[in-house]
Amino acid sequence: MKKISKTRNRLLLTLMLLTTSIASVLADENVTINGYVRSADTGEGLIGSTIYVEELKTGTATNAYGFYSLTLPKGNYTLRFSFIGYEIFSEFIGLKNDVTKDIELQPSSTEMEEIVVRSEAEDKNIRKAEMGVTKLSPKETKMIPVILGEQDILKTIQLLPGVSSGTEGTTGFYVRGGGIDQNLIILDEAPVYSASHLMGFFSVFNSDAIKDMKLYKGNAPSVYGGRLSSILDIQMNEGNSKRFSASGGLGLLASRLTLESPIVKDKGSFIISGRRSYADMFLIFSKDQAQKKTDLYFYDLNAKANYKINDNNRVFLSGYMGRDVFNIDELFALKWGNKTGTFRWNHVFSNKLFLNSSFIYSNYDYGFGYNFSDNMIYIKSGIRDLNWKEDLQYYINANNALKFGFNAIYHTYNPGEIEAADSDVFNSVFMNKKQAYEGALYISHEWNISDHLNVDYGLRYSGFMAVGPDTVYTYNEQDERINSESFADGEIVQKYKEIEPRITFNVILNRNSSLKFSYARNAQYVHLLSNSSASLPTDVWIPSSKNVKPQVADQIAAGYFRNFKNNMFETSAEVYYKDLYNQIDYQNGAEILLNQDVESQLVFGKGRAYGLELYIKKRTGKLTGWVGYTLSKTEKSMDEIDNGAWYPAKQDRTHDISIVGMYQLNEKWNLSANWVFNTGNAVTFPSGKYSVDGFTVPVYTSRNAYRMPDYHRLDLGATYTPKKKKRFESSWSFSVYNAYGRRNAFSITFQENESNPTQTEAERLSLFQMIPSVTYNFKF
Amino acid sequence: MKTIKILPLLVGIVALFSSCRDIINIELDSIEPKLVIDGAVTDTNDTLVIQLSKSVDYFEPGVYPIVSGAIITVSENLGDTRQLNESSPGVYSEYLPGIEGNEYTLTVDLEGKEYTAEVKMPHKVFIDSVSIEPTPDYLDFSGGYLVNCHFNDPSGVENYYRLKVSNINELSEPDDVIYVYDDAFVDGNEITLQWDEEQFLPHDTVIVELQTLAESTYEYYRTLALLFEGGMIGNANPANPISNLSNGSLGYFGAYTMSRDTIIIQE
Repeated sequence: MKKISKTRNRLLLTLMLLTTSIASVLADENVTINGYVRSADTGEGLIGSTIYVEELKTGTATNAYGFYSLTLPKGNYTLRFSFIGYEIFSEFIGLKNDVTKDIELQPSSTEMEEIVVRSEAEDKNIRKAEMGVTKLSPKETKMIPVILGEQDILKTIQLLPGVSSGTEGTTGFYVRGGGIDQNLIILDEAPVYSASHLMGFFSVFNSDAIKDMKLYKGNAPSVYGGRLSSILDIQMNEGNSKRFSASGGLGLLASRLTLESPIVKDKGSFIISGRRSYADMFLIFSKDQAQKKTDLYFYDLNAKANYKINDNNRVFLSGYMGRDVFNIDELFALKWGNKTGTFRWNHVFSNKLFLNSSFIYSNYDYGFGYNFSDNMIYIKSGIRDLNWKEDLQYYINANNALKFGFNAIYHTYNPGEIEAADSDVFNSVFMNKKQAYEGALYISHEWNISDHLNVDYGLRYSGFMAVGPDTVYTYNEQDERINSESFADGEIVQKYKEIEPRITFNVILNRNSSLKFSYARNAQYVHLLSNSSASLPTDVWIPSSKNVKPQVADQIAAGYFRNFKNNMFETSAEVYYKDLYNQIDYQNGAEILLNQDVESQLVFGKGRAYGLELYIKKRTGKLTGWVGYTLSKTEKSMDEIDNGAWYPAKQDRTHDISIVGMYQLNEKWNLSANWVFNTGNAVTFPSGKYSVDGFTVPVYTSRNAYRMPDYHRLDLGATYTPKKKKRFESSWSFSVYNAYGRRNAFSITFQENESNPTQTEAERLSLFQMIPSVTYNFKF
Repeated sequence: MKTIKILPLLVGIVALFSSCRDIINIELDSIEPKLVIDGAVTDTNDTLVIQLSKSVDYFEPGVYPIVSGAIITVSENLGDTRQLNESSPGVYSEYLPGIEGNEYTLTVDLEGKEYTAEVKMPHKVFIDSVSIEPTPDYLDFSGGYLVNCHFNDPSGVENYYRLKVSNINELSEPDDVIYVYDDAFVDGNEITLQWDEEQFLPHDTVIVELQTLAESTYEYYRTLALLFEGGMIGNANPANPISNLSNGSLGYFGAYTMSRDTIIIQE
């Protein structure tokens, strides 16, 4: 009873807020100005470009397609269009009737422009009340040395407070203490399940093809959902619609090439971007037999085409395909990859109502094979998603915008199947495929209440339905099956639903400072099970089911933001607290691989995470950069582990520091350096040992009671940019990863000393010391 | 068959990325020494031997205190209860041949506490034959021969196996590895297990031993083997092996059958 009325109350409250704000708008004589803001040199729509009305001290920003709509009372206004990296365009305009105005902004002529992380600009009061959002332009990633000279969006966001890197050499990152699976990464709206190549060295995102990237740290507006800790929304470039352009780079380990061109000038364009690594090429020179026959490479391809049918209709088709291969002769094979495809249709109903329809396909698969008694056995798993989304944006007036829509996904999970080359020995086994529907309805309202207060609030109603065919088991304490139920094709196995309210307040104190508060509830219906210390692609994704409930989190956050010296310095301090429900962990001695009854190996409980994020950034001048510090704690509690005592989550990193600096030495040389430090992961180490059957066996006490040694490293980089010749630009990037060669522990193994078996020791494996790299980049 | 070799993967990655291994100092907590009970009923050895010892702190030398003066009894479901004699300090033994299908219960009384465990003797599976083949290229060593063990898995029964292969001269040396298997995906098939842990040279006499294990014995060895995986695939949540002993005792009370075969490597 209580639950139902809480829901109803929430819905009523939302409706009430909506009607009062709409009512205040329906009166008087307003006109609407709308259109697109684009880049003058490439024709790309500019995302988040601001349109400021000086006289009214209000305005709006463009959406993900560069579209804006502003409804004002009739009158004369000075409109200012701006976007980071471009010249501001001001126009004095007399608005008597509705008008459509498309603007093209000129790229900024000074090379020494501010390389900034877009956040609070002078137009604070028209910026959406987004809190815990970070926007990064790919221009910025080009100045940061990352491993092996590759520009990497994922590695760059890990240099910001609140975001920590996974263990070196592994994929995945943690946001505000959440697990790796609690981040939703979408590329042109298609989910990307494994966002990295080559054991975490390279992300799957080629930054030559990326236009915009937004990271929400747990309090995304209601248009987003499906993961507890973060949303990383990445938009691809549309392709130069004015002229043909090519860019790329040749590097020590990988090379890339991007081609873009108009299909019809100013009406349609396409872009194709590819990358291939060749780490294995150098191995043919190795003396070691196994190394000689090792294949280790990745490739990825991004492609997108768009066409403007008429002023009100535009279509886009984008796709991504990437693959990683790692084979050691006939001993071992590992491969994984993502394939995505998105078809989108923008339709402008009226000058205030914008619709985007998307049809999305996403496929993630991984396979691993190994040699068992001279037989190659392959184990394959994967996820396939088919997704239909409709998103409407209704720009009521300068102070009110409404967003609403729905999202429906059909998931198919293949948790694992074995294929054996020789089926006399092995019975080919299939683990039941699982099907489920996941859907959501959402609505949100961005409301500029006054000069000093704006709010973004909304509701997301999400649901999940696991359907047959399937056979579902329940288990007893000894992990034995005690009950089984069979479901026919399409029959509902289990249903879940969740109401997720979201709200963010932005209190503008003065020109230079503001306070933000937010609350969000998030539900997550898919889960990643990983029992290795590395996060391998062999980790298993499972959907919610009869035994596994959806994860839910409530997060509150507050922050103080302040700029100094005319926006030269940006500082912020944010605190957050999260309560997590239905968290999953493994019981002791769990068997995950190919276990039809993997759900019997899990234990469930709760989690909590809280922290403080401090950030200071210098945006302008010869020296730019930032310092980020996060102090945090993340814990879990499960009845079956240490009797429900709170224990640290693996990714609990007490301290996390990032110092990033970029120095424009002169016209040609740009130097950069970054230093990172974090407390080691929480781990379970032995406390004692004993002997059984001739083996020396460690004794463990509490889970995750110890820490890996602290991690820190320095990366240095330098970029040499010779003078631009006509249309041809080039540059050389040099970098050193882990410049002082610190041996950061990837793992610590406890074992008997080889020469003296009665002595035990701890052996550290560290992966990367001092790795240099050179890349030649070009663009024309 | 769910045993996966991680060593080759580790070798590959380590070699590729100029990584490094070294011994470091780590501070670990101290713990109260815990009782360890170690022994198993077998069908070939008529004497049941149970060893009692205690654990020590991790970086102490591996000298484990012996536990004397415990009262140990074992009872069979279809037989009587016997008490074990302490034949030497910490070692308790008694005549007790293992019989397929029987259930054995162990009780250890020590310093006012009681520790018990139950185990059922599994049905025996015999080695069908043993063969050899030249060492393949992808292994660390070459020029010798690997030994294969062939047997038929009874269908419809859950079987758990352990394979031990060694040179007759090194039979009494403790093992480096534990290879245990369950018949989950191969039930009823003709099975070949290859011992690729070491190679043998011509004229070597090799003993091949196939054990069938009780389920709790298999669980113990399986979770024990997890603790020996290190590096990249290291278990994120190591925990004490799943033991059938009560009251917090470490170790296990197992039951297994043994089938042995000998082969002399010919050129």
